Amino acid sequence: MTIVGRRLRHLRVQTFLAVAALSTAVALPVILLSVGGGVAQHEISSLENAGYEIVLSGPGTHPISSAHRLAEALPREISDVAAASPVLTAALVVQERNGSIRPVVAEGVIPEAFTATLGDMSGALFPTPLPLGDPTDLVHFDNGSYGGPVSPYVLVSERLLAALGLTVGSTLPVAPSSPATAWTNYTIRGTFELPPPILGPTAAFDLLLPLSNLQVLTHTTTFDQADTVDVGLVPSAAADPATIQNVAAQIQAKYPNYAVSTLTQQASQIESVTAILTGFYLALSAVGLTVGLVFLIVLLTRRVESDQQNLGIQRALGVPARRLSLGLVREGALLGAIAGGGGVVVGVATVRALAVYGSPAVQAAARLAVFSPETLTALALVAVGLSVVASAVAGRAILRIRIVEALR
Amino acid sequence: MRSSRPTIRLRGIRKAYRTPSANGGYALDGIDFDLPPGDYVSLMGPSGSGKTTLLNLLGLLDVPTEGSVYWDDDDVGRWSERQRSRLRLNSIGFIFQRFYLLPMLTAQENVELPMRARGVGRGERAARARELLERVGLAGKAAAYPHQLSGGEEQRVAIARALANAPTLLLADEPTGELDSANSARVLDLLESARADVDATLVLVTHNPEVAQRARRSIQMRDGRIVANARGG
Repeated sequence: MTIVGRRLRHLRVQTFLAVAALSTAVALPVILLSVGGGVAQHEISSLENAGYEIVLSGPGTHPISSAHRLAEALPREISDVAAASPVLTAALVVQERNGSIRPVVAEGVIPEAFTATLGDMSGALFPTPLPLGDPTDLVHFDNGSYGGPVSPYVLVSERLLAALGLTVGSTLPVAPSSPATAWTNYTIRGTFELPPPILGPTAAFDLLLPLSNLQVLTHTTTFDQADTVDVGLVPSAAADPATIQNVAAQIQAKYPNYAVSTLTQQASQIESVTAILTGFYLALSAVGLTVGLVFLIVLLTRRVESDQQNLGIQRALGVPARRLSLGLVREGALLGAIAGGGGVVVGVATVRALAVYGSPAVQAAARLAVFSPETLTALALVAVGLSVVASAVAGRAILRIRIVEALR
Repeated sequence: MRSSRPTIRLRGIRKAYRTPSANGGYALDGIDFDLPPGDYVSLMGPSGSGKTTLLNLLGLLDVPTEGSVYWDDDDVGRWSERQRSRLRLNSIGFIFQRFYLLPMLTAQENVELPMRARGVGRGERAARARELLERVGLAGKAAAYPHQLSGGEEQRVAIARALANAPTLLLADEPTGELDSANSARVLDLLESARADVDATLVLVTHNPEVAQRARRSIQMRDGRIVANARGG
């Protein structure tokens, strides 16, 4: 074992404290960067896998009007548009078997268009094709009269189905939330899964029914209203950001009253926010690392002071001061390597523990954590670098030791 | 060029206290003295007479306030600390009253320390350390830490350490000051035989006239001055 190793073993408590301080300072950015980066990456990935590339929206409640016409017109008028899916979101109530009322969030969609704008990930959550009856939702809509025969089908989330204790094929009474008196009986034709509970694009609704049916239930038939229109492009256009921007500009020109945004823009906004947050995390971590550095300098300087006699003996024997100083730097580097490695291990272990034992939201976020080897290595190296700086500062004290005084 | 067995000369040495005192503020005041190769000198005098300060100057642990210390013709006061360190490492062996072994190292590792600093290979220095420990009668204590050794044993390890790099100058500051008479005699015998083996120069600080009498030359100090310099032994 080297003299450095012996000194570390000889001064167990001090060594432990120094390693613990620096490890904590390293573990903090490991946790923040891995979880923060993971959540952002998941969000961007969700956008990239949404299936549609452009979204029309507007201010206020149910701002889109002429939803059925839009769904028909957009693919016809713009060649790169494959499908346009209006989506209406509204609060409803369902009646349980015991007569009690349960509020739910419902989405109304045009089945065929909705399926066409789903990506692989979200598409896997729904049956294909959607078993909601009329695929184009034009029969009941009947050119805006809503006079055609109603498709009496509904899809429910597996979560709701389990909560209601019903099965596929059961009858489900549905009514608008206010007044909750006009009940319409729907037949449950199937179920869909919910995406992971964090930041999913279709996170919270439990009922999926034809757009025209939901419009009737929520009295939004006057202007054939919806909340958004998701626009999917043909594969060749979807792969080219410039074409996406071009199509978005064409849509904007045709519908100047709506906000037209691309998912690329949204992803870019998330990336910008992520970059800001990463900077914030790093600033926060820098505070921890600076505290660790100061602690280490104080600790090593105190160690030099308390070890002055042993250092004086070695210098009396002819060991050059620079060599002793270098020994302290090696000691610092070893401490830094232990603390850096330990901090990374503690950080990763903490995230893993949070993924199991945290609150549901924390668990979900922790499970998305991404551990970048480059980041972890850089953080460990920062710990080594800081320790070397701290020991070099403390090592200057060795150069100032007066041998005869150290031997008194 | 320094010879391997130099004559050490002190000329006009004065060493000021860091804090001025009654004696004009000098721990050493006008020391002139030659130390030829192979000499065996005892330094005697009451506490505060300047013995240890003189020893520190001889061992290049300190520099004089005035005057010069020459190794042959080289004024070592002009040397850098790095050069003085190298000279201490290669040519001077120290034995201290309080032994000053490093507590975190075993007896053998303490003996190896000067060789390690000199860059001697692991195998060679381990063999030499074992040989030196055997010579001082501590072959069985190589793996012991200082706190596991008696005072006499610690001092013998310190002697082995002082001899590690085969120095030409041995400086012993009251080496028997904390030992009983049996251990004192054994330590002195070891020092004298080590000196004789390589014809090294030995300077020994002591309060004990019997110890001083064993030297070839006895220097008496008082108030920072040499008051007697007599050939004996």
